[in-house]
Amino acid sequence: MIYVQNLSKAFDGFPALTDLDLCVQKGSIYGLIGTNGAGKTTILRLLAGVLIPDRGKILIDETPVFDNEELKQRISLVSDDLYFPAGTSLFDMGKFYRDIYIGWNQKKFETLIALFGLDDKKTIRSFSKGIKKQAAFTLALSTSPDYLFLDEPIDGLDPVARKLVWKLIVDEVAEKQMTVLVSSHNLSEMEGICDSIGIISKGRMHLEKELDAMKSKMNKVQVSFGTSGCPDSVLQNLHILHQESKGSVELLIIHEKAARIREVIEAEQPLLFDLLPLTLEEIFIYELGGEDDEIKKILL
Amino acid sequence: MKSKKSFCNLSAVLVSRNLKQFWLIPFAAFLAYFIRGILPLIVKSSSYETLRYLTNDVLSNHDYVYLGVLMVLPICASIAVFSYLHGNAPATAMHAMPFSRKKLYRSSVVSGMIMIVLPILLIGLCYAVLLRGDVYDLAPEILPSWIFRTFVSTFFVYAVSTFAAVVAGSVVTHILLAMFFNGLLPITIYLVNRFMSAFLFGYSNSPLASYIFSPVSFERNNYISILYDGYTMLTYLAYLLVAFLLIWCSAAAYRRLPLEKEGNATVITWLGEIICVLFAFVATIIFDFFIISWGGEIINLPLLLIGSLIGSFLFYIVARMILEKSLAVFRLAALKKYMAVLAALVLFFGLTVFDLTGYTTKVPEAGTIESIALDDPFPLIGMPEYLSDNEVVLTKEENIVNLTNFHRLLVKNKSYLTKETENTYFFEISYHLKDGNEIRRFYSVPLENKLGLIDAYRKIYESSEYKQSALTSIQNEQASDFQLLDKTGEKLIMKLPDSFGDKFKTALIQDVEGMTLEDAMVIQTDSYQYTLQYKAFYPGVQSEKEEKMFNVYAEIYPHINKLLAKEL
Repeated sequence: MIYVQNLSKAFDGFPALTDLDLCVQKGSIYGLIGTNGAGKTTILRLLAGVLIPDRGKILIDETPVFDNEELKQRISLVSDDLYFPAGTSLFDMGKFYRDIYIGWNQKKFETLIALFGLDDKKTIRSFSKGIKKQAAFTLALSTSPDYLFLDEPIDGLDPVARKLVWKLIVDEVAEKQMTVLVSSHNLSEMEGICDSIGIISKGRMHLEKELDAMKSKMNKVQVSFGTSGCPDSVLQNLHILHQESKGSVELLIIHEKAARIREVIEAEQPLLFDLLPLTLEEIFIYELGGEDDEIKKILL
Repeated sequence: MKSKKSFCNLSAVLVSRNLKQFWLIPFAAFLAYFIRGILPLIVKSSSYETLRYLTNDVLSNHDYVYLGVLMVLPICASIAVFSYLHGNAPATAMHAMPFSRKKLYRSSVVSGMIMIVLPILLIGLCYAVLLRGDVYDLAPEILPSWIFRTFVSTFFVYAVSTFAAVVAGSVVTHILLAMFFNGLLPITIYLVNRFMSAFLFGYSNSPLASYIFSPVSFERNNYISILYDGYTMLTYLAYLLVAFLLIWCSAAAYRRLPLEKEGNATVITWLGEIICVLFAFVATIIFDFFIISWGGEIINLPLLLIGSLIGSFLFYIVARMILEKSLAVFRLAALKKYMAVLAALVLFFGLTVFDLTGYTTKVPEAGTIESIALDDPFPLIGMPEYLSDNEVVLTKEENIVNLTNFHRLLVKNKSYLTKETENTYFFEISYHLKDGNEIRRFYSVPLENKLGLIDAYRKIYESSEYKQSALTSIQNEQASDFQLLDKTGEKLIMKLPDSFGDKFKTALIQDVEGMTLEDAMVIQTDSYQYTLQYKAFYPGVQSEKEEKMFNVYAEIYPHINKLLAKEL
């Protein structure tokens, strides 16, 4: 488990992070959402033990991460801004990683190279941005980490590579209970991947939710009661976050479980009744209920 | 669980990777050493004497190539092994790996150390083979001495460069800081000494020569082929200690390094500010020397002050531009910090140009003086030759008063004396005060009687206390093997009997007792007629006899001349 409490970090007096709390359960995928400059990369660098926090606690499996060699053996970071020494190939990097990571899996490394179709003898610096990302991802996964931190991992990847990366991550989480923390400025790309989401803005955590719990409590309903409109009993018995009318058809965002919604609406014998899937964006937008314009800007 | 392949908080993997990646650096150093010093010996490209001279030169690090490698190799090694630090991406990648900061730092330092030691050892091995059998008649310790001194010197420069690596945020700043820190102390002290000598009449250079603050300049300024005395050995041990301290301090700083600042010019903001001020100050002083040299003998003070003001501002702005990596540095906050440069210059000028402390005119009262050590150009006749220290210690009140009067006369006539630069005599006066303090002054002035200087100094020179050291030494001297030579000292006129020794001693004592200051000034010339060569031994002072050459002046040594006339 990753536990962060009251984390603060300033750069030359500018507060990059302020009293940030974060909790990532073991074997889950946590999405860190925020605009550019929100502090996502800073969080990841702090969690990977690269930076020193000004204040606060960072514990991974109840141990501090900074300068902790043993813990870092189980952590892998794939930065947005990648670095490979001049003149090195993927093969050379594999050899280097093999010598420093106890959990290095050579078979997995070779499998991933084949899967991504990488040339392991060519100098990595000559690769395109997307291929470099794939190479970095290959190296990271081959260290068999318990904790994988990804900074904008699919930025620069083509759709096929993107899908492959997510699949590999999900498989690792499922098989080995790997914990993943992935940062992005795009909520929709986290769709279907993340178990929890944290939204940060200007260095502060604004919202942190488990998606399943949130999804189960919120539903989008398309219903029509004919020309009489939506009955009062529906409006009063259900917690409606949003109501939109298109002729006689009502589009409702309701903060209730599906069973309860069905019970209330079907009692009024609607002409049309459909439960529709909600996107992650819609969940967050309506969850906020118009409170936080700042977050809305991030999500929209 | 421990990381793989590591011991003593060192990663063999990192060290090995660094050596594979940067092998060209030690190789280039080895080539430079080899081509310059070893290859000529192998191919015997020149005469024996030339090769012998070359080998002595290179193994004293007086050769420009060997000296250059001393400086360049360690700086390049530190730049290479710490290159990962200077940029956000590499710093993040390396520090995210399963290494503690201590391990990363140590592995980098050791990698660099191997790079600088390997060429020295390999070249040492080559010399050991080529110089065996004492082929070039060099001192037997010359090679181990070279290995030790070169190692210490390169390690020192490397340690300073490592410190520069830790505080720098970019490769460019690292290179600049490595050169700046390595040269800062010796250059600054040299400049301050020169400035003070130019403006403070009587300024006596710091007892520690500026070159001592860096082993590279120490090597350059001393023809050391071996570590021949305790002082030199102590100096090198001090360099070693300082180097280790720097490595240790850098390690401590590295542990808490703010990596988010990598990419800036420096990672420690306040240190960057100090460097800006230091750079502007030192550069301004150098610039001032150019201004002074333009004026010739007369120093144009207004030009100097205006030049310093403009120069200091420009140098400060340039330093700020490098620090901030931007041309837009003309902000109020930055300009306020320029005041620190101005303050340093005001203080410096106050102490030197305007002599606010009264250094020039300060002459202690006779009553406050315990003793005076006086070094003048007049040789102490009869003293052992090996004693390069020609000092006389005066403790009698009369002589102390006379010397302070002479000193006041020098100070009073400063304007005239500083203009005259021909036929000067040096005087170094060291007052040991009763309160334990010491005041030292050095003058190189003409000794003219129109200012009363000769009369004033005569009282000291012709005093019995002044001559006592020489007279005691003559009494103690055991002289033998006298030969009378011509003026050139090469043609033998006659061998003198052993009985000449005692008579010579008696005559010399009489002549020294009667010697005047004018006589001493004549001894500075070559108007002597004969040369007496003999062997002298000073029991309790020396362990061996020394060969002495005594120039016989007809008008100065009447008793000796009479003695020689009898022999002739």
